[in-house]
Amino acid sequence: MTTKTSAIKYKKIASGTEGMMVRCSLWLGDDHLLAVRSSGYIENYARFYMKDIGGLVWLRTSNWLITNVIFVLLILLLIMIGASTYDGTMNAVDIFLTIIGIPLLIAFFWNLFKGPTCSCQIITPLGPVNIPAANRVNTVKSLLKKLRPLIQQHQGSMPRSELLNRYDALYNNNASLTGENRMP
Amino acid sequence: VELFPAILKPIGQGRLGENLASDSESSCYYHPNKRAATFCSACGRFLCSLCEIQLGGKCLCPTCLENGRQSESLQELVTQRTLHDSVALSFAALPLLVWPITMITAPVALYLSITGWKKPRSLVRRNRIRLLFAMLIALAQIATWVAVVVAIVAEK
Repeated sequence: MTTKTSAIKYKKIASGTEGMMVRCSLWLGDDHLLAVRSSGYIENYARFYMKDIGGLVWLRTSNWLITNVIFVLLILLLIMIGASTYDGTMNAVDIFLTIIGIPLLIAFFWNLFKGPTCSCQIITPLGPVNIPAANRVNTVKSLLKKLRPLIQQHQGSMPRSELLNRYDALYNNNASLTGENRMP
Repeated sequence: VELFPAILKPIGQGRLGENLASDSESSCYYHPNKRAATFCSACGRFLCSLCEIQLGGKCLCPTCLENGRQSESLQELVTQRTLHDSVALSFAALPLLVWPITMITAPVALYLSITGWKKPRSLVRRNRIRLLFAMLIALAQIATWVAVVVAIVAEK
C-alpha cells in the first residue's frame, strides 16, 4: 500500500547553462526550490526545502567581462577588415562581414544587458550546493527577492546583526571544541 | 552573502521512540516494544517516533516510503526522469537529415510516442506537445513511405 501525492505545481524562477550542453533551471514549489539539470533526454532533480536553506552565497566571476572583451575584439576586427576592403559600394566581403557581424553585435548587447556573471551556492545543512541556474548577479538578486518572504514564512525572521552574532558565537564555540582557528 | 536563521540550526538528530509503559498501550507495527506515536497516512499502521517519516505534509512508514519511491508515486522522492517525449521527437525529427533511414526510424518514433504517452513526464514540463509532434511527424513519414511503395508497385 502506498500514497499518491498530488502533482506539485512549479514556477520557473531562473535558468542557465552548465558547460555547453547541460541546461539548468530553478523552480519554485510550495515549500521548496527544485533545481533541474537537463541533458536533453534525462532530467536530474535536487530539492532545497525553505526550512533548510541556511543562506545564499554568490561570487562575481570574470566570465561576463571576458566574453564582452572577446565580442568587442571580434567586432572591431570585422570592422577593420570591412574598412580595408570597402571601395564605396557593398561588395561580397562586406556582405559576408555584415552577416557575421550582426549576430555578434546582438550577442554582445544581449550579454551586456544580462549583466555580470557569478557563481551561486545555496547553504544547506549538509553543506553548500552549486546552483548553475543562478549564474548572473541580477538573477541572484531577483531570486533573493522572491525567496526572502518565503523563507521568512518557514524559518521566521531575525535581524541580520543578531543572526551574525549568533552565527559567530556558534562558530567560535565549535572552533574552541575542535581546536580550529577562527575563520578570517 | 545572505544568511537565514536555518544556518544556526544543527543537523536534526533522529528520535528513538519511547518504550511501552504498559501492555494496554498501542505499540509500533515495526517495533512491538515501542509506544505508537502516530500512524502512517497511507497504510494506517501505528508507528513509533523512530519509524515516522514526514514527507510533503504526510506521515509515512518506511515500507510505504520505499513503495512510493519505487513506483514514483511520491513526487517528492523523484530524483531523475527520462524525457520520453524528447527521445521520441528526436527519433522523429533528426533522421530527416538523412531521410532514407526514416523508413526504420518513423515506426520506432511512433512506437516511442505511443508508449511514452502514459509514462511519467518531467516534473516541471507537464504537457505532451512534443509527443504529439513526434507522433504527427512519424505518421507523416510513414504515410509518405506507404505512398511511395504503393506508387512503385502500381507502376510495375
